[in-house]
Parts: sequence; C-alpha cells; structure tokens
Amino acid sequence: MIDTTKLTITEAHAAMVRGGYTATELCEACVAVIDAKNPELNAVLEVFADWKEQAREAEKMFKEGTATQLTGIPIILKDNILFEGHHVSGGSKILEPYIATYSGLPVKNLRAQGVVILGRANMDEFAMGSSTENSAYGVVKNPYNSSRVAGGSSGGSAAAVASGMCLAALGSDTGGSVRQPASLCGVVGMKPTYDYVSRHGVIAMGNSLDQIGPFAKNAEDAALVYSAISAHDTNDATSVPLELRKKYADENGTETKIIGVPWSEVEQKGIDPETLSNFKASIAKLRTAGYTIKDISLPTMKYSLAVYYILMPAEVSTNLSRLDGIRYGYSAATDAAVDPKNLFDVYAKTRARGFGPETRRRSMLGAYVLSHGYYDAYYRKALLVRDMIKKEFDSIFKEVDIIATPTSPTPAFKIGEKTKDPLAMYLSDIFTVPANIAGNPALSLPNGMHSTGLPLDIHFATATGADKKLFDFAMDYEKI
Amino acid sequence: MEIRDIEKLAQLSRIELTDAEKQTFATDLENILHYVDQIREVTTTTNAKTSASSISSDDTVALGEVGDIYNILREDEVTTGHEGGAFSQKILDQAPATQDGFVKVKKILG
Repeated sequence: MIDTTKLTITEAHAAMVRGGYTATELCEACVAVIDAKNPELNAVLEVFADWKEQAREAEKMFKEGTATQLTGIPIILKDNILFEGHHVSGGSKILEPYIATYSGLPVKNLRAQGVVILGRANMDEFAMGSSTENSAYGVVKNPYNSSRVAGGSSGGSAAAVASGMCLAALGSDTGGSVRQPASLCGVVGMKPTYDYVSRHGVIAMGNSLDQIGPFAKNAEDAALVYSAISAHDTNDATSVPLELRKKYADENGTETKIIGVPWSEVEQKGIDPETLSNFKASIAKLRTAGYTIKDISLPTMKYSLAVYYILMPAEVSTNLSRLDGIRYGYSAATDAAVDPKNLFDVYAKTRARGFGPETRRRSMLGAYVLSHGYYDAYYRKALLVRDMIKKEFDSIFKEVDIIATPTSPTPAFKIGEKTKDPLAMYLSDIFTVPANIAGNPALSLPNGMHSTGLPLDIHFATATGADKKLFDFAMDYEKI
Repeated sequence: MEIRDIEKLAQLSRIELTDAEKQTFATDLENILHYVDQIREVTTTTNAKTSASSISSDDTVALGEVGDIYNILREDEVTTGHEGGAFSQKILDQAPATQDGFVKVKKILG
C-alpha cells in the first residue's frame, strides 16, 4: 500500500506518470487512511460514493496524454464548498439534508484537471470558530495529539492533509480559518488575495472577507492547487478582473528582499514563550540567509480583530437569513416533533433547532451592530477603521516585501479549554485576521516543533495581488 | 445588556430562545461588545473613499470592499444562458415542502 502520510502531489504525479501506481490505487490508499484514522480524528464527514468513477476518469486522462500535475490527485473539500450532486452541510444540522445543485468555478476547474474530489471535511458550523468545536458533527481531533484541537474553522481539511487522508484540501478563510488550523496541524495553509479565487459555490459567511484557500504538505503543492483555482469568474460580482491582476503583478515585482516584523504586535501578552522564541530564531535565520529584516510599526493593526467582530457578524446575520426552513435544509414546518403556529414560528423554530450556539450568537450580534441607533457607532465606524488598516498595510508594503509574524499565538490548545469563553476563542485569530481585513494574501508554514510535541508555525503576508511572489518566497524559506 | 434587548435581537434574527439561553447570550454579547468598543479610540475621517458604492448619502465609505475592487453590476435582463425551468426541479427537490411546482409556505395574511 502507498504511504500517503508524507507523499506530496509532485511525487504522486511523478509516480503515476512512471506507472508506479494508478489514480485508483492512490485514492484507495487515502480511503484506507480515512477508514483507519477517521473514527478517532473525525476530520472527514463523508467519502463521496463516486470517487472510484472519478479516479477511473483520471486514469483515462493519463492514457490519453491529457493529464496535468493535478490529475488523479485526491483532494477533500471543506463542507461549505458546493460540489454538484453531493451533500454539503456547512457543518450544520440545518443543511444536513442539502445536496448541492451546482459546483462553483474552483471545483469545476479542479474537476476539469481530473482531480478526484474524495469527500468533505468537518468544520465549525458555517465556518464560525477556531477549533471545530462548533461543528454540529463533533470536534476534529489534532493528528499530533487527540486531546488537542485541530484548529478551525477548516479543522477537518487541515487534519485530513496532516494525516494522509488526501494529498491536498480546500478550506475557506474568513479570519484565519485556513491558516490557523494549518498551523495547529503542521501543514501549509494559504489565503489568497481577496477574490482571486471565486466565491461562487461557497456557503457565504462574510462576503467581504471570505476566500477559499489550499492546504498541502509544502508550499509547492499549495501553489499548484492555488494555480488551478485562481481565476476570474463572472458569477462572482467582486472577482478580480485580469487587467487588475496584471497591474498588481507588475507593481509588486517577483523578488523578496525585505522582511518586516511588527515586534510590538508580536511580543504581546498571551503569546506562548516557545512560540515567541521559535519565531525569533526564524527571523535570525532569515537574516543569516541574506534577507534584510526591518522593525515595522502598524499602529492600527491592533484594531483588526475588533473591526472583524463587527463586520463579520453583520455579514453573517445577513447571509444566514436565507436559512429559514423554506427553500432548503431542515424545516420546523415538516418536523413532526414541532408544531409551528405561523410563518414566524416556522422561521424561529427552524433556526433555534438548526443552528448551534455560536451561529445564533453571531447572528444576534450582527443584528445588533446593524440596528438603528448602533449602526453608526459600530458598523459604519468599523468600515472606516478597516479603510485605515487597509491603507496602513498598502503603505508598509511599499517599504517591505513580506510581513512575518507567528500564525497562532499558541500551539494547539486542549479540547474544551476555550469553549466557555467566546472572546478567548476569538483571540486565537489575532495574527491572521488583519489579512482578511486588508484583503492581502498570507500563508502559514510548518516551522519546527513545540516541546509538547505539537507543531509550530510562521505566518507570511504580502501585498495585494502578490500571491505568486508569496509562494515563491515560501518555497525559498522551506529550503533555508 | 438587558433580557429585553436580547429578546428584541432574537426576534429580529428569527431565533427562538429559552430563558436560560437569553441569560447566557446577554452575557456573551456584552463581553464581545466591550471588546469591540476599543474601535472608538480610533480617530477616523469620513471622506474615506475606496469604492464606487456608498452606504449613505451624506458621505462615502468603502462598503466592505477592499482595494480597487468594486461590485460589478449588470442590467437585470433575461438572457439565453439556459432554457427557462431547466433547474427548477433540481431546486424544488431541495425544498422541505412543495406543491404543484411551487415552494409551500404557511399562509402569510390572517
């Protein structure tokens, strides 16, 4: 049997070209890992019934000479990414019966290259959380230590890649939901520039923040998946047009020389001492490798998380209003155990039973910040601060190529440690949220180990539209 | 935050809550609002304009849009992209209750 735990996409592709094994054999190996490890980890919610058929199509592409580097590669989707004809639930009870009526462009593009969409990964309900403890289908356990969380909200995708259940995965990143679980599970996770990857076919959480991003074992593999899914899409009203992509690429250049470190933000209370010393050692390593290290000041960056917890719930309360028991999913109207008296009752009882506590909390918080009397003080003010943060980043990226911080302030925390205190959980995203607020790309790389045997990380962010430059730098960093 | 504030938000959000939940959510929301209140420290100007859209008539700010990106709009016209009704059955299949090709809801007017 093929060992998928360390296997990369490029190695698997070479083996399939050589005839060492077939796409079916590769996928069988991943399914065997799911069968063996998933009862413990709970990373995967479903292996799709048609994976063998997809694998056979991939083999045909190899025979016909139309295979690409991704043909036959088993990939798992976060449970909020639609794949036509397959279940997708957003990690929620309210969409448990829902079957996707279409695929978005990222999934279509992967399928066109013969990628095998093996199944769907567990996640925090509607991508709200940093530990997958908000999933309606149970917590995902960390592959390195099953008493620890895998991070969130894309915890299932991260744990699946880390444990060899697939060779890559897609997640969605609204405030760090790809990068933070990647960090906690010791894999690569990347958030593209806002709307470089189409949001069509993703169950929306915060439209101005959401981005699909890849998980993989190294930066090269993540870049391969990214290249396949990053494209302009007329079905996404804010998809970045090609002219603008070209303009950004020209402005940003290709070479990384200067690394900025916002030390006053990094050295704050709450950061694990080993996380900090490991980060400092990495910066020293970069200096030795010839990069210029610059201490930078981002005075508005510290408000990112507060801005996020106003704008995101506002967008959540709007987006999730469509889940009302009328058009899809669970409905109190057809539930024999409930007897709604009128239409309002159908809505309120459907949402009370279908949504978990965090989804209800954020929906109400969103209603609050958007309500008459509080709109100016919260929502509108947050938009203005966001604009300042965005400008601060734009201007600093004229001085530095990359901003380096840790991804997560601590290694994977214990299951249950933060569930009683929503605010403590929110602080897990302190280093990742700024990239969603400003819209620029960022990624998390595995970066050594903590003395407790858990993975450590490093987070690199760069200017809007410099996604390729970020991957190139990440590949260089992996070598030093 | 008072219980009646939570009741109002629950009503706006169309979410039924138990009495115990009202208490917990009131505390949670109060803590979160206390945290996000720090944005009041930031001095902002109201002429921040980064997008083609505006959220109110008296000033213009980014409508949660980032960079040079703005909402790309088009006329709401019937196109020949697909035949009418081509996806109707697929979509109806997902609805909890249907009748004669329609989604069924409880009656709205008394």
